[in-house]
Amino acid sequence: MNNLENRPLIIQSDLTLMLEVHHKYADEARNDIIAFSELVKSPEHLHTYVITAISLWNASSASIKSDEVIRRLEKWSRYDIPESVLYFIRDSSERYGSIKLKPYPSDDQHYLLTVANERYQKELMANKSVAAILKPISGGFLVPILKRGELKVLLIKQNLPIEDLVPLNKGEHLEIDFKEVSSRDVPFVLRDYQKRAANALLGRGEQGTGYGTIVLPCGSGKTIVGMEVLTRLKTRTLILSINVAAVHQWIAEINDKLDIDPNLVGEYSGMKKEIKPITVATYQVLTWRADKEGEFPHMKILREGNWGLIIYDEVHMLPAPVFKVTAELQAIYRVGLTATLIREDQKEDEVFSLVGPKRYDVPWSELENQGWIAEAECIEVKVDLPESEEINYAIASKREKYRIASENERKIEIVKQLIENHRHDYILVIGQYISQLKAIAKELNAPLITGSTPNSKRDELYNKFRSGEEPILVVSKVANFAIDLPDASVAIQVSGTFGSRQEEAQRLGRVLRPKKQSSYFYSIVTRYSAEEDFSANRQKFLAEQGYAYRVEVWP
Amino acid sequence: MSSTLDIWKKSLISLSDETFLDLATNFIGKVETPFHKPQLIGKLTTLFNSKEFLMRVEGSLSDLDKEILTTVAFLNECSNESIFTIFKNRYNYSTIQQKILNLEERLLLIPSLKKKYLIINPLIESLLIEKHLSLSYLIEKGTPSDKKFNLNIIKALFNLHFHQNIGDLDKSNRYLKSKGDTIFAFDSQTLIYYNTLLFDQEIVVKSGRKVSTSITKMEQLLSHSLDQLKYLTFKANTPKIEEHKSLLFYNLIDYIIKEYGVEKEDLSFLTKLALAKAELAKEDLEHYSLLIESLFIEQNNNNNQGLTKPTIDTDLNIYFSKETEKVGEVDLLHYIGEVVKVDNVINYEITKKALMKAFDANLKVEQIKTYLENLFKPLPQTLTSLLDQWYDQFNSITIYDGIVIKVNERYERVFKALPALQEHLIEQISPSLFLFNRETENVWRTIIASTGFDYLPASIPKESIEVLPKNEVVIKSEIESQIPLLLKDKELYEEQSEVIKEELRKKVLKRSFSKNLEEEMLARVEHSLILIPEQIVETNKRGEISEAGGFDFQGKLNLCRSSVNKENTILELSLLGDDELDVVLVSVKEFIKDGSDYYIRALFIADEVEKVIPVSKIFKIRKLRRSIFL
Repeated sequence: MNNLENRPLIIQSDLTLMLEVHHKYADEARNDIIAFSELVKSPEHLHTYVITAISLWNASSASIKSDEVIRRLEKWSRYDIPESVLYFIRDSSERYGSIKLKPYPSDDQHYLLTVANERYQKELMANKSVAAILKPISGGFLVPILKRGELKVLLIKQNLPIEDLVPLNKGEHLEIDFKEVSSRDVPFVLRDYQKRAANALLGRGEQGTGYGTIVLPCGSGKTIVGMEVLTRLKTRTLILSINVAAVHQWIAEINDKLDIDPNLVGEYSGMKKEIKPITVATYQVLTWRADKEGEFPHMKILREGNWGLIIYDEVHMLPAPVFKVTAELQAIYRVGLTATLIREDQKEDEVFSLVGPKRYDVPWSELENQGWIAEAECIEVKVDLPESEEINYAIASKREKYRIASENERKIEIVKQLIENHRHDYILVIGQYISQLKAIAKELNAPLITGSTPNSKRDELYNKFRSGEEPILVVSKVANFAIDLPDASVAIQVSGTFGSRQEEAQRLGRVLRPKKQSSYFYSIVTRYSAEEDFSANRQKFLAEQGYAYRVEVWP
Repeated sequence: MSSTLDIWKKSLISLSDETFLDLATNFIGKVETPFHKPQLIGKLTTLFNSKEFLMRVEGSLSDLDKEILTTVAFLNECSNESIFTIFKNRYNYSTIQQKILNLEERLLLIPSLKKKYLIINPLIESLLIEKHLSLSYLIEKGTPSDKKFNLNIIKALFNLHFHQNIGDLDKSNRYLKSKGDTIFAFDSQTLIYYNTLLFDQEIVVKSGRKVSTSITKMEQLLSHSLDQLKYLTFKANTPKIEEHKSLLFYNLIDYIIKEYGVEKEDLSFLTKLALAKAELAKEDLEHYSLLIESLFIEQNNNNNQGLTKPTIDTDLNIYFSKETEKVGEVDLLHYIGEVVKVDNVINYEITKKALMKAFDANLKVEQIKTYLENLFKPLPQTLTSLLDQWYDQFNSITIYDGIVIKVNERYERVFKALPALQEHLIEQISPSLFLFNRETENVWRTIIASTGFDYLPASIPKESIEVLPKNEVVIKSEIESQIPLLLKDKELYEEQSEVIKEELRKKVLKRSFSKNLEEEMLARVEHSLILIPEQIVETNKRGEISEAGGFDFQGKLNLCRSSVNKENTILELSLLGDDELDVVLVSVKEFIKDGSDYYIRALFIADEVEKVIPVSKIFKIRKLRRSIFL
């Protein structure tokens, strides 16, 4: 390929790779680079990937060494590869494999850490936290088995990757497979990208595989990927999810699609405390404790359940105490599932270190083009504050300004008009402030689900929505994640959590289940107010996924 | 203007009788009387015009001869010191000093009419330049490079000042050093040179504690050609040098790199040559070398192909790989977007903050739309509506001269009702016009901003973006005619000096000279002082080197004493070290007697440091001449 214009990849000095999506070789190039780079954003024309030390180490562990990485880049790069990029690739790859963690046969409470290079050994011991974990012996260091995760995190921060050669525990066997036809009498076939995601995580069972994070758009069937991993490992499994409704959904999906006795599937939540070969629990119950300083009494199910696999649903929500215990569970197969690996606390790196690196990510637009998620139109509707609120707004503090703008009463008339425009659709009205949601629910005469709605009531309302009995639901942020409402095709966002990008994406996700018609996501924002700026920030993630907001001004 | 012959004659006439006699004796044999200088000059002229002799001169040229002669040809004329400085890190002082003396004795270098300068013998200069001298003896020929001024860098730097206020020259340079690599794929030194240009051209100005930017001046700068911009950057970073010297230096470098190319490792040598030619301070070598490298040498060989057409993505990021097109002669992107990256691909993001700042600088929404529509067809609807909305929001308050404020209906209501604002409000002139107290401008501005108007305009803007008349900077100066000739490749001449020398050696040995004279004759052949058999004749006087060593303490004292502050005298000292002898070249500044001990205060020529040395520590002294012409 001599003609440089025939190459779709542009490599920047800061290790980003820009892929021209509409180029005829874009797909081939993407398949080549995905093994050693991570997708950063995928707007309409140019997708950005980045090469990181971790992505190179993952590639190394899958036998893609620096020479191969460079060969692939040279094959697709339109310009010469910057020297700094070549250096980084070689240097990072060289580090991988220098530090190895192995079983230590004579002591089942410790692993053996070997360091090939004296310089790395010095770097290692210079870090006090690392030195405190390591016990020097002839030929290396002993590492307590519970410190495996903590050590990995510490060393990754020092740019020293551990090649983890300790095999993962197999866990107690559980005979389980997909049904050919689901209980709802729908033939079931795994989609290609779902297979690829599971393959990327499990590899061929070699060292360095069996743990990681899968990033797939909302509505694209992450649960199915989790279940595919489960059926391939056939082992006792703990699934952690974010709320009871999501737990119920997992259980329903498992019973629907997996060939397993429903009695072997248990719920561990505030309501029930079942421990079964497949147990679905909430993060909340694990992190519940009687007082602030006390122990987490339910955390023991995580530690002592003899699990062969842990699935972290909506892994971007993983609470800090679960992080800590996850660090101790490095011998267990782990899979994190999310659509938006963005944490507003910037702790994405910890997810990568402890649950596992990003193994699979696919641009939203790609699945939309293939019809696996619904085509969605995003519309921002701007509305002025009523005159009566102008002075209140002007004299309010910044935080109050946001609240006043968010609760702008004129939004209700827009919601009503939008519902009128979509009178045959299933509609979710989503908001942040309960008083505003109550007012809207009352005005629309529609049911309202908030944090204080009992779980049984929530399930009942979700089911009514699914069945069409209640085509409009007014929901608070409790419905942001993990709620599967397949027929919802219109979401109207009346307020949100300041500039939260992932909340915006997750809310759009509520209407992305594939369906015959397009979906609509409306965000109603008060014009010339603080809400506009927060709204712009909220939209960033989706804009980076290729969604363009149409702006309309309410007269 | 003197002819070459005049210069030659005048140069020889200016020599002292003793020096002239020595030289004449070497070339034309025994000279009966020194009183017929014109006649002797005539003979020397005839000799240097004879084909046979010139062929032997050509054949006698060594590589080092050519290096030094090329240097002198490049500089036209130069002092011994300039040659030493230029060759400082390439050869030791003694080698160069002896070679210069040798070239003087061979009359290849003669004194210029300016005292203390050397020129190439004008009778043979054009022959040497045309056939034998080449810069390729001094610097490796590289790939010719016509590196242009990088507009993308300067626009992005302006963008950082305009939108992010990165501070005055010092502060912004520090910012570029520490954080420049997050945006630019260029070394921080290059960024600092470009940044300095912005301040030098008063595009970014520090006034008190504030730093302001001027779009008008930026546009004026951008109206220059790329070559002119490059020169202005050079000039901004060499503020102390005079215009004509700056131009000469710059043009030489520019011409040579464009025509000839230079390997990076030779850049400092080329810079030394150009500094000497422009008579600039040699101490600034490092500064100039870095500047030249940054402005003239390509950092990578990317032939930026593809993605030339700017692309706008859904996240309002704009990407392009060359220059953005000008629309109506003005490129607006660096005013209306925030720079994200300047690398193989350049990336700007359109943001509300940037647009508000652009509106405040008097850019109109229609102008921006036209510009963007020309770049991107079609312009995303999202962006069009955002532009309108932001412009509308921007225009809801306009401040004239710090006291009169024009507002839209909404703000009219707010202004009238906001309690904190009332004490600053002098009167409402009309429904949309308010007169405010100038004295309390800072206070009422804060109050208005706190109502939620985050992008309060500075005042009614005075600037406008317009096409300004080209502001040409004359940067071309004529390159002297011999410079292009010196850029040719080395020519391979059949090595003849050994053949000639062998023939001459045989002739010397055939003559029955005394042992001493025979040795001296052979040495002269070896040093190419004798080129034709006619020069092998017994003569009346030869130059000699004075030397004293070992137990000849008095001899050593005499040599030291007689060398004090003699400009043309250098002593080669063999100093007794711990294990071995150190040989150094010094010029003697002072002879000191302290009781029965003797010392000299000597300037070490290579290091340019002075030390006091006990004469008792000197094992051997050789007295050398710097130049036969001094």
